[in-house]
Amino acid sequence: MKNNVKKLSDYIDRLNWEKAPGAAECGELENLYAAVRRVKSLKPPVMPGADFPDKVVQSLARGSKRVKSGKRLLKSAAAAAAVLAVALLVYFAALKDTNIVSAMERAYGRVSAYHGTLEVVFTSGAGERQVQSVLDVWADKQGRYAIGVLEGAYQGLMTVSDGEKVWQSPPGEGALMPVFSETHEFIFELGGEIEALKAAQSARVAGEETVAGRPAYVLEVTPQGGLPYKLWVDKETKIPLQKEGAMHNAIQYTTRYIEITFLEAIPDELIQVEGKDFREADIGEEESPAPAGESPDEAFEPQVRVEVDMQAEQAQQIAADSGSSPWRLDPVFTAQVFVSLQISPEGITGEYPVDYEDFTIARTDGRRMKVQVSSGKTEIKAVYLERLVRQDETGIWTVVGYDISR
Amino acid sequence: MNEEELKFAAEVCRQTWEPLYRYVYYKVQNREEAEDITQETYIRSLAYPKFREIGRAEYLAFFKAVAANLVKDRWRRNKKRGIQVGFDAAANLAFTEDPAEAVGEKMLVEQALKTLGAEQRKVVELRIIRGYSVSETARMMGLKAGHVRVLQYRALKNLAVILSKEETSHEE
Repeated sequence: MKNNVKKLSDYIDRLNWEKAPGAAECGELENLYAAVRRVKSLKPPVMPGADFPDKVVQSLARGSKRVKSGKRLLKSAAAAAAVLAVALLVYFAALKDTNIVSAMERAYGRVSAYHGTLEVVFTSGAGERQVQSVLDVWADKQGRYAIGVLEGAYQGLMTVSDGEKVWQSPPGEGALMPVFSETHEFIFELGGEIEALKAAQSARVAGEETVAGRPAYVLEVTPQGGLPYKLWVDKETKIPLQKEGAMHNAIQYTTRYIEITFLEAIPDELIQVEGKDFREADIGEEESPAPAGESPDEAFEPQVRVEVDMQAEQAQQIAADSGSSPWRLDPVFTAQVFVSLQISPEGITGEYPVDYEDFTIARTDGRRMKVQVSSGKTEIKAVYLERLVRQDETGIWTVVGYDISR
Repeated sequence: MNEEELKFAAEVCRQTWEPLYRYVYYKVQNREEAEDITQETYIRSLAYPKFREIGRAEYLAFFKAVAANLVKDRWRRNKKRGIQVGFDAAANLAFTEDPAEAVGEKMLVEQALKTLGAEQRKVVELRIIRGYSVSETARMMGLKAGHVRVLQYRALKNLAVILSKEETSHEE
């Protein structure tokens, strides 16, 4: 029995890696293997590359010699294979990094759209792991996406973007409902991940592991601003499969594609919201110039400066990158929390003392922002914020100063 | 193959490879074997002297019948008998697929999974449906790797028995 336990486990691994398993050696294993295949058939098939029919025709043209995988040829010389595997790993690691990043870029260049099942896993400081949500993701290179929550607190929620606007169904009331942990933003978009990798301070191949049955390189990435994270890249397709943020405030998020299929386009009807029960979300942030006679720098000069702990801000950035503390991506909400804490320094319980509607964006250049406060409950009349860690739409806002009424 | 034969083969292949591959994959459940068997099916079938006598509409059914034999051959433990492709049988076989049958099979497996205990069902789901490794599954379930292997062995043994009982009751 012990032998069959091991053989069965190896068989499952081989199928998970999409590799040919050996034949069953006895009746018991034959039955067990058949049961494994029947369970696995609940999943859709993994299709070959687009060049597969050409390969078949080529093999017919070559006189019926089948195209065999290189791996099988290597099997006959196990020692040589082992040496080659080590050599390849060293080669890859030595050439760093730019090589794998450019290979990923090339691979993604051939992708037009994709459909995947994305799993968001939450890990506590005590090491307890829990699947927070399972999402059905359709995305294309035009920035369009449709994300349905298959499992999790917001099961049934659909978030759709045409690349500019975002809609949700069922529409509900108030703020957008979160899709990823606490944010509605699409945080594991393949193109975005590759762009982030290109812009990273450093990225190195730290090893190899299997993710959802696929052999993958493990990259350790240090972004420009924020804490390091790990990215698992499919060895065969060079597409990111999994991302693990740093443990922050005893919370760590891992997002991974447990299935992914590449498509020519995503179905238009998925993005079509007209006539359906969707609500548009106001997520835009218009750039507003400084008033005439005022230099851009003067427009963002506060009366009172706030001391900033950059280390804490970098940790907040990585938390936001992982889907935690998304309110730091909303400058108005960040200003509201700041002002409320000036009124109640011991902490906020229940409603905020100053309403969200009392804050309006006075001006911004995308990197800096002045938010006007119109409330009789505080002497603060304006809050100044900056994207200190990262200066793009994924950067968190930090309060750097404020004006008070004279 | 001469140029005309190759053109014909390329056309047939491009028209039928996808449903054929899906069929083979369904049987073997891995890409490597599915690609190999699909290729071998074309090579052997197109070399069959009477292939052109088969009606165009019957090509796919013929390929599936040949592929089914190739799959069976791989699973046979005693390979000394050699490969039995069975072309004549394949050519005469009215190979039809009943979509209701595929749906029925899916329901059967899903139903069988529901009859397993919670822990056994979980291990099957994580290892086979979600494709996690033994160590990943062990971490998620709070078990040791050895325990996961034994648990999945017991789960699949139970599942094999349940599935064969279900099949028998359906046949009756």
